[in-house]
Amino acid sequence: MFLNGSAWLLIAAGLIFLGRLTGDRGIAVGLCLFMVAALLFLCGQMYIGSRGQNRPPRRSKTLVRPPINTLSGIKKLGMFLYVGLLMGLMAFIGALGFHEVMIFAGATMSDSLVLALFVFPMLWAAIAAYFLIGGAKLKKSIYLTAVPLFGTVLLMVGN
Amino acid sequence: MARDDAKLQATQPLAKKALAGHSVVGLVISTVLYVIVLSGMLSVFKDEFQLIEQVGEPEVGFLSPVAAQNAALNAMLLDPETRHLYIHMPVDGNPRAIVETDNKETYVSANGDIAVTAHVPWTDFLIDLHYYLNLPSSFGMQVVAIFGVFLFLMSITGLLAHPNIFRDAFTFRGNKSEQVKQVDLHNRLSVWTAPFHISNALTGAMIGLASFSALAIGTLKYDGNAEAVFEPVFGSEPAVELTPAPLANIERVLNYMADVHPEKQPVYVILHDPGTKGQYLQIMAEHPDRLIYAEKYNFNGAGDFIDTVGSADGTVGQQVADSVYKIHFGSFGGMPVKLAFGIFGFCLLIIITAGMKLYFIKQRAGGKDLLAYEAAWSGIVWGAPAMLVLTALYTLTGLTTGLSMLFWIGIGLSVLGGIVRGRKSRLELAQNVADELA
Repeated sequence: MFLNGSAWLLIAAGLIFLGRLTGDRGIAVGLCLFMVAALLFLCGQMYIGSRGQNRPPRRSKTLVRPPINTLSGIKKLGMFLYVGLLMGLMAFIGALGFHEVMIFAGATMSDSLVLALFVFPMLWAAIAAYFLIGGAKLKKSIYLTAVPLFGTVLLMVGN
Repeated sequence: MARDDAKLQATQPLAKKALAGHSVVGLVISTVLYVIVLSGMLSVFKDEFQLIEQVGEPEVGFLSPVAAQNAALNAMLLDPETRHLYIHMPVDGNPRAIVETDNKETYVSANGDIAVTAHVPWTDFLIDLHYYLNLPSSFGMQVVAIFGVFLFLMSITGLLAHPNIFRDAFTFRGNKSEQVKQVDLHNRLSVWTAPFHISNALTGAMIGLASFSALAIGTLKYDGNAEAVFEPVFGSEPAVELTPAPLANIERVLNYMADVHPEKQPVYVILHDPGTKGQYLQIMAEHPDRLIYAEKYNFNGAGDFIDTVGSADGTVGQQVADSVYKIHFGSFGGMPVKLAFGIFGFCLLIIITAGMKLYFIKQRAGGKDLLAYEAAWSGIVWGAPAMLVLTALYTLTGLTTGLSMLFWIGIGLSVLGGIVRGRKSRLELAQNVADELA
């Protein structure tokens, strides 16, 4: 508990100190130190945690070779393509729509572009995560369709 | 306690779903992601690898303005038709000067004389592997970028699958079962290096997908001109005027930089359309204590200062875009930060392997025999670094062609070897079970 608390405090202090010291580069270096410090504490915890009696390995079960399920394989591949490509397309249209929103809002072309370039992968990952985790199928479909729909409308209005 | 339990109960369905999604995506992407991360971890040290690999180049601590002018003149003699000329200025940690045209790349001496041709095939192969997976460049970059998106997706689902993230921040139960150990290793390393893998996944994805986005935005906003899309960020090139003219005055420009901006170290001299009336010069200079790669100072052919692009003090978008490279490759704090990035990259490799190991342990606990798959995965885990070493040794023999083919065939063989080994293990296991029953 003490180790946990002191680790958090030291890491936060180091980060704030470095961030204040030297601008954006300082914050980045501070984050690196933050991660290195955390890893060092983790190594300490690994050392402490690994002492003591190791649990004896379980007696191995009789292993059964699962039959190759082609349908399940195809389903997984289909889902991968769906998440990987179709959702990418949805996010792409959404990000282009976001680009239009930024321009409408009076942002500079450079800000709009760079933000849209970052929004694209973030939106892609976010909607893929929602697809994998989200609730009812109908609700999911509505939300997921809304992203490209919203983007398409904005693109039509903006061009 | 009861409140904690109720909270846990409420978060469990989401955590469970997130974990299920995390495993499915992880299983599909781990193999390729492992290769991208491994090559990326090594790419952080590309300058150092170049220094080791290149033979016979002169050490240049400082390239004077006169020497830079001389180097440019010499390079133009080697490649008179070039449309671009770059001088890589010596910097801290890489005391070498290189002059590069569209077709030639050569080291130069301290007085600007051409020395030896740049020849770093293994480093080039490594970079090609990380940027493009050795695929055709524009397609390969998109593929790698998509894996960046998936890595970010893994981070989101992984964090959502982890309801006790703060409470367990430093917990490592090394005296428990192998499964618990692997869970702790995977979770703790993932959480603590999250700033690294999230920022790297996003910057990598952004870099790789930018050209794809530019195509669409170029069509919609710039009459199909994809290059014009980036002009608000990186500046535009002046009109081309190819009438021959004396080579631009690089010496004067570098003297100007030394007088007016002595604290800003020039890292690149870029000359567009050299030896023409329309030629113009850009000096890329590092700004101390900034994450931006470099501000671009624009000059005309006569060496008169025109303006800057705005990477250092332009819009937020310009500053962010120019900071992406250094953030991705950890080149913002010298060797200590590079080493830290190397460690974080290594942690990401452990995270991936621990995740896969967990999957196989769970399958085995459920009585499923995936020994061949497990052995195939081991073939990648050990085969990829082994093949990188082998390709490096291969280049030492003087042979440089077919590096990528050697690498991928080697990995394929390693996987096949793993499968054969896995089948053998299964037979041995079956034999043991039969013996026990007997």
